Amino acid sequence: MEIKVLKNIMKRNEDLAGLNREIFDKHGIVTVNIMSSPGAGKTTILEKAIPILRKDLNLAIIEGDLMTSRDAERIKRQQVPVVQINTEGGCHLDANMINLSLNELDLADIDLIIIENVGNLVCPGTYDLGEHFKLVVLSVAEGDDKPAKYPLMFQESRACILNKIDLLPYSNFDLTTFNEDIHNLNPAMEIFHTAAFSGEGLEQWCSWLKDQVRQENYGKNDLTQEQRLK
Amino acid sequence: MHEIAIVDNLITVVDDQVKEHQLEKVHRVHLVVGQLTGVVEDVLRFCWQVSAEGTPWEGAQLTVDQKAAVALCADCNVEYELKEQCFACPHCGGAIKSLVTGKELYIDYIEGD
Ligand SMILES: [Zn+2]
Repeated sequence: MEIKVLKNIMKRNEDLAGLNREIFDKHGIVTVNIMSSPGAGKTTILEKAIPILRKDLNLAIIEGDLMTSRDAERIKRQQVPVVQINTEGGCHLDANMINLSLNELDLADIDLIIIENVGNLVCPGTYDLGEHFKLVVLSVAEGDDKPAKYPLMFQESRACILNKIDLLPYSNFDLTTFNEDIHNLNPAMEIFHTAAFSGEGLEQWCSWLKDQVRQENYGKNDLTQEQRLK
Repeated sequence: MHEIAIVDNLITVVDDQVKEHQLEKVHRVHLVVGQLTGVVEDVLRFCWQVSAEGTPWEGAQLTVDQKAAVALCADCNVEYELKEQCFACPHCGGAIKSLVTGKELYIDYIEGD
């Protein structure tokens, strides 16, 4: 007999993502899922952004890594709570991993959780982690054809950080092509130009991120504005 | 690697169906997979065969309906298929308002007794 199923293959992950989202909302936490290729500079961006964000928000970082804890060690030096998820070769984080890592955080004390996903532009797109929104980081060194090759990543993210912008004069990265592709895929997308190594552009990105946290929380009446934004 | 994890998730849904309908044998699992998911069909099938060993769905055929990526134009409201490297609306040059298809990853039906 034929049985009509019509169920999402990722149902188990989606159910858990929903549960994560409930936990975040209950505690007034905004969660962002940052994705990129390996080496785009996510960890350096976070290292430089944490001191800026920490002034206004209580942060926690969930750090996805294939094998090592090197990135988590770098973040730990920034004096914010970090949970490291070692995927042991797995190419993405899933909702269950996030759910387990929440046990290690003091949720009552957090305004913003930044999830640094495993460096990969394909697989993380399939996994809802329960985040409120996604960001994609691309570096100039990777070339301007990344949005064309991985459209879903760019279609679903709220903002894109174009990192290593200081390399622009030394590369054949075509900013016009890049901007056009992004615009066609996702006209509402915010684009930030950064050179994380020197800190260039990070103030702008951080102030945008703070705004997003404020907007996500707006209208959720269970907490007062003061409680959310310290 | 992506495909292993997807098959792992797929098995949970198939297993639920097997229990619900008290199937002894599954003959076919038919999926709908959007082009934008980056799933490689052959790899998916291989992972499926390996993980099906010793289960009621061992030997079951895994068939896949590939769904093209279709977008809705923000300006002229026409649906158009996304071609690689070109995302603007072919009718008016507009940008994407939303994706209509291309992100699917679901089980359409299973056959079994
Ligand atoms: Zn159009």
